[in-house]
Amino acid sequence: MPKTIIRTASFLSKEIREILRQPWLVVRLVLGPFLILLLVGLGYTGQPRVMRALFVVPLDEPAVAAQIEQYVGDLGPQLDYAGQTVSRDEALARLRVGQVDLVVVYPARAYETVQSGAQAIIEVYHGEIDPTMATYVRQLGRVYVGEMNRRILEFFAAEAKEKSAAAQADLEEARSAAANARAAAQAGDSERAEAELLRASGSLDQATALMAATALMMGGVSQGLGANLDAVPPTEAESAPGQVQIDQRLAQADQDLAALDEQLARFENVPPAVMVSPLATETKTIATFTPSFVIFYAPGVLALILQHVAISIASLALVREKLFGAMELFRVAPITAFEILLGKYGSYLLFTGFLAVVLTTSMITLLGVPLLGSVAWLALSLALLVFASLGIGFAISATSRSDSDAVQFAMLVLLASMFFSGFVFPLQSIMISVRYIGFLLPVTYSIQNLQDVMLKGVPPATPFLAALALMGILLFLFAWWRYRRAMIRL
Amino acid sequence: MQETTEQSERSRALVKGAAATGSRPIIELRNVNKRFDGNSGVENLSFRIHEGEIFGFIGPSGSGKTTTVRLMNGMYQPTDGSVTVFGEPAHKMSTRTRESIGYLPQLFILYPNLTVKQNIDFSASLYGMSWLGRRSRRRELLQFVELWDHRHKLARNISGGMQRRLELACSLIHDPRLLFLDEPTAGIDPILRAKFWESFHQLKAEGRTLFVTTQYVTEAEYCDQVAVLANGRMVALDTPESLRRRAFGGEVIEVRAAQIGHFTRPLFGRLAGVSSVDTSVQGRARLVVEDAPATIPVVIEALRAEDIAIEGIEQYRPTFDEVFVRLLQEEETDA
Repeated sequence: MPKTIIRTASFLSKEIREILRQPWLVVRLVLGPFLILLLVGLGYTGQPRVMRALFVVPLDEPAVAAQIEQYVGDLGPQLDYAGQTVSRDEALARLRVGQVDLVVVYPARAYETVQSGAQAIIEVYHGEIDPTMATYVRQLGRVYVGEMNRRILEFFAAEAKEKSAAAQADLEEARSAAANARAAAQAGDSERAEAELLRASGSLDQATALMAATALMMGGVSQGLGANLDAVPPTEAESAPGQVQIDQRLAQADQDLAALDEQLARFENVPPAVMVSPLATETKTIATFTPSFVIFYAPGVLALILQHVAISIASLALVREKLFGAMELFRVAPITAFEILLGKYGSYLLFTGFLAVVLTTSMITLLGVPLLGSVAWLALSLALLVFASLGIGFAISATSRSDSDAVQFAMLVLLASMFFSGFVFPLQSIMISVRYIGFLLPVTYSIQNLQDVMLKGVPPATPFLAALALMGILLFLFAWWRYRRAMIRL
Repeated sequence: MQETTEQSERSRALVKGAAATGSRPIIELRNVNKRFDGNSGVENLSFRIHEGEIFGFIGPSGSGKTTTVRLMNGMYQPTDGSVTVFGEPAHKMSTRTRESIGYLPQLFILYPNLTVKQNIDFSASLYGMSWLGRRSRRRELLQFVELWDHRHKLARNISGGMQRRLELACSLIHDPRLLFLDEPTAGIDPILRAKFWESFHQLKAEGRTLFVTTQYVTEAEYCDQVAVLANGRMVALDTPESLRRRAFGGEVIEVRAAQIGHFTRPLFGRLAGVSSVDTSVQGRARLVVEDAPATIPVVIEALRAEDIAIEGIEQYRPTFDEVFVRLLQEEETDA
């Protein structure tokens, strides 16, 4: 038993000594992931992406345009007002080229639509293929239309609240007073007729309040929809002596009542659901393909795997040869650092290129990930991703002192890629200063490139391709410089 | 400063003392010093290596053998002095010159996950040999190092001796004129060592020049010239035979007789041509003489005159272990 303890202790002490002999390795092991997570914590704002919204207003309804202007200030931080247009086609064209993120189309004749008992539909167009973002846009549309409905109802409720209670009774009383006045007038009792007319007028005023409330409800809708409505008919019954005047006023009162009846009839036609939500939203996408979550994330996973493989194999490529002594052979042989590096790049490009073909084919055939764009663009996007990633790997390799150093750096790059590339969190939800870390990672550009080619069927953004190419070239030059220094005769 | 001057003179003397082969020198070191972060690697090395010879570099571990090899193959630049190979400064050798050099490093640095054949192909490509050009040479070399039957095995799966032979084949694939072999026989069994030396002599016979470092002092015997290195300084440089003479001050005669002891010492000392006598072992005397064959009859005559029955007398060839120890002792005494 004591011998077992001694034997075990020998390894215990040996391992601890070895670990302590590499303090920087330990420090990096702890500090690396800690710093990345700290940056994630500090940089992640949790704010959803601000969407640039372009509004399409009906051509002949300037009131709507005015109301949108009025609402713009209240849109909140998630929406950035990008202007108005009367052309849906123009707006959608701007959406397609990415000048705006949303196109909000207001319906024509919204008030009439609501009066006819249907909801007025506000169409919201977007080009998002990210299922999360598509859901977000739908929710955003609902929230804003809900807000508009709420405002309409609030307006109605405030006005109608005070006056709606005795409206029906007042109307009946007004009818009765009007009938009495007519009878008194026919009987020649002008004094009584005058008195009844005054009573009718008073009751009518109260009934008008009800109608006003109803009309106000409709008016609230109209206000929300920008319609011009003279909802309240003239109801004032002026008291004027003389039969002719009384007859005129009686005729006017009948006319008013008829108008009020008509208004009430319209009110009855509007279903309660429409009454409380006169506006509704309908979200539409201009994307030719709406992927599922699995399919949407597939290009990102592909980019992440390829970047990690390329960085990992390249990061060990030079450091291993430095460690086991092959550099000694290379220094004596008539071979240059450039030739060595070029050969290694070539072999790894071939290997990761083959891997890319296998993975992409598997994703297409097994997961059903579409390839809507051209194979050439896909190949270019993948080649540049691998080229830039190999650059990072070789740069790590040329600066690492040991295998463990290289592997550690490769893992840190993977960890940073998970958080700062837009793979897990949208880039827009990360503070701009921290977001720059993502711009140093090939996968940040490549996720977007691959999604564009595979899921949107459009060519990748030229600046993204250029960024990858530039990154690859600079890293190649850096690795070459470092390797030349290592090869130099001491 | 004075010490440096003395060392330079001594180095010049060593160079002069080296056996001239008549062929032109292809490597020349002049007063070479190499220091690493202030620590001395080698000091004041001066020697020449001629075409077609085997130059042995012998010294204990850490004596500066590998540093000297690296100075000559251009990996290191001398701190002082100059190293020329084929007439060019070693650290600025042209590609063409590099193509004429083969190098077998001290450690196994080939690729364990490649086969024997793939490793040799890799080495060939480092020197720009075309696939067609290397084909026959590869077969020839693998047969030369007796690895042809193992050519499809992974390098990691062959024995240590085979790995060393594979490295030798790799260093020869591009048909170099000059070979630097850094401890090629280290850690391998005596039979294989003998085979290696046999190979080196074949290579020499083909007109190649070999610079061989070794810790095995006995291997000095196989070299045309031998330099002995200790603590970064060259202790001796000469042919193996001359080194022997130099270590012991001449040739050695060993006499065995029961009566030999301390009392016979004056007897031997009086004999003509005997420069020193060692009777430390009872029954045996070792005499250092200028010319052993000429002195042996004189010794026999003297012993007979004293009625000492001789059991044996012969010229003694000291082993290189003894030579090496003597030379190092001399160096320490001088220092």
